[in-house]
Amino acid sequence: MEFELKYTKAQEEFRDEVRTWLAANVPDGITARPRSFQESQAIYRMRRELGRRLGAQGWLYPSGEKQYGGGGLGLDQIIVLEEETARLGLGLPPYYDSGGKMGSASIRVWGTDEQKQRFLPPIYRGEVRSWQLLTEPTAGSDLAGVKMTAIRDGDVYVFNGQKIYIGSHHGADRYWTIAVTDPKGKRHQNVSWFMIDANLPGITTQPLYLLSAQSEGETDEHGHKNIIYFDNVRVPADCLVGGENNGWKVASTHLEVEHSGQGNIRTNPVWIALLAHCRTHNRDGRPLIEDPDVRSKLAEIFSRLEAVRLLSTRNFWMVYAGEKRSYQGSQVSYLRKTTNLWLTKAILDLLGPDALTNDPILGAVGGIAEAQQRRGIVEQHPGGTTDIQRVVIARRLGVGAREPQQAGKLGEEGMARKNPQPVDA
Amino acid sequence: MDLSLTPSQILIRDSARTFVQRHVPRADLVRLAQDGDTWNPAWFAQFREAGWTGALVASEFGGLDLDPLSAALIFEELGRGAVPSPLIASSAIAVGLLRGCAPSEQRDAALTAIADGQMILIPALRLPDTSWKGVAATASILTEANGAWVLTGTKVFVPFADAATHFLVSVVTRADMPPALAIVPAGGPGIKTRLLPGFLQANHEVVFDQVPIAATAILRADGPSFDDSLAVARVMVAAYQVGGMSEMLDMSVNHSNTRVQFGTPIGRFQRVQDHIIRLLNAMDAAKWTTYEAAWAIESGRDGIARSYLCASTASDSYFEAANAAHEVHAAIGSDPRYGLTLYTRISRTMYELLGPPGWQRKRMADALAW
Repeated sequence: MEFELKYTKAQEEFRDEVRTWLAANVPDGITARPRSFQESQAIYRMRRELGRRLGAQGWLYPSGEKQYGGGGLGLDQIIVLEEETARLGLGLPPYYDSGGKMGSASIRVWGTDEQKQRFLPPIYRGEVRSWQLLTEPTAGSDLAGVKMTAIRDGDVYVFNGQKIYIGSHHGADRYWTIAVTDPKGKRHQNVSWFMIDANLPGITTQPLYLLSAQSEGETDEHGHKNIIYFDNVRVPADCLVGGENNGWKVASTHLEVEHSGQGNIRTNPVWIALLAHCRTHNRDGRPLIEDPDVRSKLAEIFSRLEAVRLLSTRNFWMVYAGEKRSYQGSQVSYLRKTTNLWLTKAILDLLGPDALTNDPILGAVGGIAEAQQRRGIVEQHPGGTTDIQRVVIARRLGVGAREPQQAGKLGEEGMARKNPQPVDA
Repeated sequence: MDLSLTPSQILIRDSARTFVQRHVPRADLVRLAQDGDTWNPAWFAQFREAGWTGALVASEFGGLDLDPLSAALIFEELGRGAVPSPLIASSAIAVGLLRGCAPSEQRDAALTAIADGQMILIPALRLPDTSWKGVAATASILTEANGAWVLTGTKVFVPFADAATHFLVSVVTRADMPPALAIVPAGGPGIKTRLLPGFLQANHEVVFDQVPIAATAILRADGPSFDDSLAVARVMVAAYQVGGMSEMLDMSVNHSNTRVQFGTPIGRFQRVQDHIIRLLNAMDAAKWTTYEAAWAIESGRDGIARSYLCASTASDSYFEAANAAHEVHAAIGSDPRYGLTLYTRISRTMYELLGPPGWQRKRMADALAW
């Protein structure tokens, strides 16, 4: 076994190219923590502009097919791209684009050629930002229980209903959503998916402020989720993806991507900041790191985080090597969520009430500890609750079933390319 | 990055798995435990034939000199089968301690004898009424009589002492001298072993009463810490624990699908599923910290720190996994004839084999130079 990535000469050359490009195109302040809504908006605009530039390079969605505006890159190059953007504190895309990620993955499997041509290029080129709209007031974990209707009326579907806990702030251009297309149909045989224009008449948005908001990849005090209302919204019928009332099959692809984190090899940034804090801050007249109780707690935290990191590394490798996965994606999602919630108490034990304030003087770890206290709670639900993750794990193990459940159908972006394509100039 | 096994590692794993499947049926283990026997010399003879007694011994001493992961795969399969034997104590822990000793004729002869199966060298370390603070802190002070060294003292929780041809005893010649290890023949006068009763596997008290120790049998440390020289041994112990958890997972999934209550397999109940997932998560955490530690040692990374991490994780995990498996099996799992308790007992026995998890984590923090 080899747990470290080894880079080829071609990868290092590509890294040089990426690093040079990023240095010339990533503006200062793009990862700053905004102090006002205006600053938050300005940063969002920077991120969208960077997205368009990355898109022009084929680097915004590097695994997307070239014919649709993606990069057509293999994992060898994608790894370098992700490492170099992560080094600057950015993700790919550098803004919240859940509908782009999950929607494009689903369209690649279930969309017609015409739909791929119409929907994918604007996503891949960064021209649109898309949100996924799944949860409703009475349908959270039970996705098949959605109530929003989309009733066919000639060339359009008429939408009525509401979605909740959606997106971030600063709006979106498109919505990737699921709705009931046959109100009298059987459960699982009555829903369909749509990629729709977010600016259609009849759509209204209401901000929803939660305990913590991660807007475009960062914790943003000014960020929020949304409730989105549909009131007789007329959506062109050609926005239906995967066939009418065939939505539960499409959902298997969407949920496979959403539930099965692709894995990564990064060390938890909260840990890095926490250890540095304990090395550089004193308590009782000595550095925290020299206190035996602190060392013991840090060792406990490190051990738990390392187990999660290694399982995430395993998932990363499984994607990289094209290995067939079963329970591993949901396992890492479950462990990340439960470990982060456990971490809130561990950090409070370690740092005391300093962990609860983001006061510029008293707040520990530059406010990161306080943000973690809130995020550890809020992050329990997105992408499937811990209970849902356990349901998936049990099914994949074959517990209480005749056979283990198979993973949902994925397109090429969910699989490794063992023979990466060369990087074009 | 490549987290797959090499063809030769797959071969080694499969050969160990085949041995367990063919020669160590669970019914035999249950009978062995009921008869009060601790191990089966016939199995050990086959370990010797396969070269496993010298798995971690350098080839110059007749060993296989396997890389840590390849050797760990053998121990993982033995752990999956809950195979009781002095192999870990002698061929992993004692070999690790000997590797921490300065080269000498006696050390090299012991490594050679372990590799060819002639010597079963059992570490006798722990002192009664003393908390674990590492190997050095377990040293018994030798006395001098008529120009020779004499050992008088008691060592407790010595694994598979009944299998020993020799003991490797932590000693010190004077209170102000660095600790050392003495190779002591097991059958000599003044040595008494007693199997400790209770919920533990093959642990003994060994009493040494006026036992003469030849000066040449005393081996000095060759580094700062005997504990650090046990890095590979910690990975082997952890791998054995991982194997045990894998089998408990399979037993639990199978039981949950075949045990019917309220008219349905109990695996349909989410609370039962939760126990199995707890077991799975414990097992995978231990497995991947163990594999990574093996790689870190082999590739010259921070292998010592990683070995402490995998040791604490595997001990905590095996304990937790056993608890979860019992929650799945309920009363059936508590019947020793069923076989689950073979694993549970090992999870308890091995919990502190090379120090408690909290101590392992403390050493990890030190090794990471925090």
